[in-house]
Amino acid sequence: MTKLFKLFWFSFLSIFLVSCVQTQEIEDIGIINAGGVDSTKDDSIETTLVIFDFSSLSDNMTQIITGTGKTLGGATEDAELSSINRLVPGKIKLTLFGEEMAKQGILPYLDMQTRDARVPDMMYLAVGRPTAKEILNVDESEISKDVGQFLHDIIENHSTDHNVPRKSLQDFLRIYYDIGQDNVLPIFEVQEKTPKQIGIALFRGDQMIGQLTNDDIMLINLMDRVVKDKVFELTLPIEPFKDFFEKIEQPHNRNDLDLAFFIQKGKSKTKLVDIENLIFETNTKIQFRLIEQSASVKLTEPKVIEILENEIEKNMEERFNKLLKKLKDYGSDPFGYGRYYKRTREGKDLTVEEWREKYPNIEVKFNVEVELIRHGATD
Amino acid sequence: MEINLSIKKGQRIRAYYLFFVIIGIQIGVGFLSAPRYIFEKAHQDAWVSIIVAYLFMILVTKVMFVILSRYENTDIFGIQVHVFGKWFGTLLGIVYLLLFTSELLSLLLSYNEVVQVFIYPTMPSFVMPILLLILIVYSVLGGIRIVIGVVFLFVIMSPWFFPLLYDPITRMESAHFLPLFEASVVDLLKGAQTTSYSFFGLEILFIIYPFIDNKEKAKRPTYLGLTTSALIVLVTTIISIGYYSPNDFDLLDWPVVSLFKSVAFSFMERFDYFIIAEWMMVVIPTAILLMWAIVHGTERIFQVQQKVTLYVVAAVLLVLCTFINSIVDIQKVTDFVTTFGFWIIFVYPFVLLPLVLLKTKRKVSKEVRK
Repeated sequence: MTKLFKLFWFSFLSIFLVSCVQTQEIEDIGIINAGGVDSTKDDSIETTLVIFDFSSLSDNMTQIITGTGKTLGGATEDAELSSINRLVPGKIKLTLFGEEMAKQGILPYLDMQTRDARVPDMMYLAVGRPTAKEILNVDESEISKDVGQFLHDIIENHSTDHNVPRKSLQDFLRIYYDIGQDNVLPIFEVQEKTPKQIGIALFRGDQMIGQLTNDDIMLINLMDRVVKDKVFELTLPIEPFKDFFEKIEQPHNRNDLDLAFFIQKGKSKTKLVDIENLIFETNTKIQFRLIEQSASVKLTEPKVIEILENEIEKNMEERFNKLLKKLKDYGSDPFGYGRYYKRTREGKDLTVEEWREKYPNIEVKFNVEVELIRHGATD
Repeated sequence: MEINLSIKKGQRIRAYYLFFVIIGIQIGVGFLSAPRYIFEKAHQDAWVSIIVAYLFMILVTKVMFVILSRYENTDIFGIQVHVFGKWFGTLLGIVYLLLFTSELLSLLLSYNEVVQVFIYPTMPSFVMPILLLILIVYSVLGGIRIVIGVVFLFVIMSPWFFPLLYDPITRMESAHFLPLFEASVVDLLKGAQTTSYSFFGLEILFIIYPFIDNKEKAKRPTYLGLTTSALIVLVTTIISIGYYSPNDFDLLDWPVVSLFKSVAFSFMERFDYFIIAEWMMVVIPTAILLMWAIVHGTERIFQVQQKVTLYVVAAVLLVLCTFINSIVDIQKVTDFVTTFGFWIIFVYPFVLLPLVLLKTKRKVSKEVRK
């Protein structure tokens, strides 16, 4: 009898407790895959959501809906009205901010997304030009994928060869809250019917304040981590190589030597040399492989290689200095020099405002050391 | 009440199970939020605080062993009655029972809260506690051997997910730890006190000691268990400090769960959901041991039948869990347990030690110790 009683209780509870949990059948929910946030003229925000709708009978599983509201939650709620399904945020892979929105500051929208534990931390952030809506509304037959996945894959696949800054929500917030470093995000624009990364958005705090070129990201990445497998091009003056041409007729007369390299391995070390005057020293070491040259310079002689290496070093140092100057003018520190100051005893109480004040006065000595380790299958 | 217990041969356990008992009871829900609270007090030197807390914990355990070894075979209830007399001793015994009950309550509330925030926001608050309490009651009904068996299995089966933290480890920022040794001694001690919350459960030694078969070997597994759980807390705290920005850290309620948010596989996008469900296996050993201590303690003090206490306590806890809903109230319960527990678990043994030494020396030593 007691056994029967136990069995009864067990089945009773199992059956009835099930109803306490909110059910989420896949046909009844719309899974948000990517979202866009834009500002509208009347100070509210417009959200564009790419959702997977598994209940639809058509071939096209994705559906794009928009909504407006004062908060992101409100706008999503509004967008939900045009979808037959309940929207769930558990699989958002990408959030795109319209350029206007990014210039106003994106932290309030990020806050909503971290507060909601269901939003994944690993979704990528990017900026859309001119609006996120335009990027997300791109014709999907052109890219043969849904646009959210497409943009996510661009960031994911290209970030390994360091063309695109890959910033997840968590990365962005960590850098935002860390004193002495600023964020960069990729900017997308629709070109020839497909979204393409056209530059790097430079942030100061949570506001976008400027744009860098796609090349600059490599210099920033070189500071931050080990760069591998990255192609980059460089133009050097031809003057120093005059004596080392192959003894053939030059194809055409040029003033520059255009080179393309493949970075085998590049990394940097930064030291704070002088705390009083904020003088930093960044030593960058790059091993590279030559893959292309415009003039036929003979690479067999050790002297040529030495000259080549010296010229590249000079060129790179110049580029670093130029970029730093530009960054100082913007007052944004994506290199993260503030971190090196903050970790010392003198700088431990550094605040954001103090660093913004000090940053334009810092001095950095860039020492680049390159090493040519291969020059392809020909000399 | 008899001061010394005689435990039947079939009810005794081998000493090495203490290793699992200690880990099982120490790692619970508090662990999920521990790094944040330690960080709040000691900042980037939080890891020093954990080491300080660990050393202190070892000292407390040593004291507990000294106290226990003065008697032939007894637990804290017997010792207190012997030292303080029948009335006051019983009263202190009740304090211990209250501590266990409030720890269990705080555990159920916090776990329920995590589940509600992360997975099922609309689920009524009584569902999770009912499910847990069914398991707890079922296990405790089996007696000490079943309790230890469950603890053993779950402690062995649950830690496989720690290697998944490799992902946050690769995203750590070394600058978060610098400059080193900035926190003042006071801050470090405060941090150590906060850490003690994750080390609660140590007091189970006072209760389970008479059940150990080969007492001479009890020390090593205990210290090993303490070291393991301290290491777990230490490693996750270090990862959290590196992974989260210092200014962002104190905004997170469960940093350890959020660490797992960055782990994703192609077959499982959101690992944190899985971790929370899996965490039930970490919570169960803690809950079962606490419940067993309550039931066994009540029987020792009041000679109440174990089943009666078990059902009554489970029902009371269920009712409390249903009505304590808001985060503010849950925080109040946790705060109460933290302060109350700290004094009972980490300070009280030092008060008890000289009294026990005096008392056992004076007259009873011959009768009691034999």
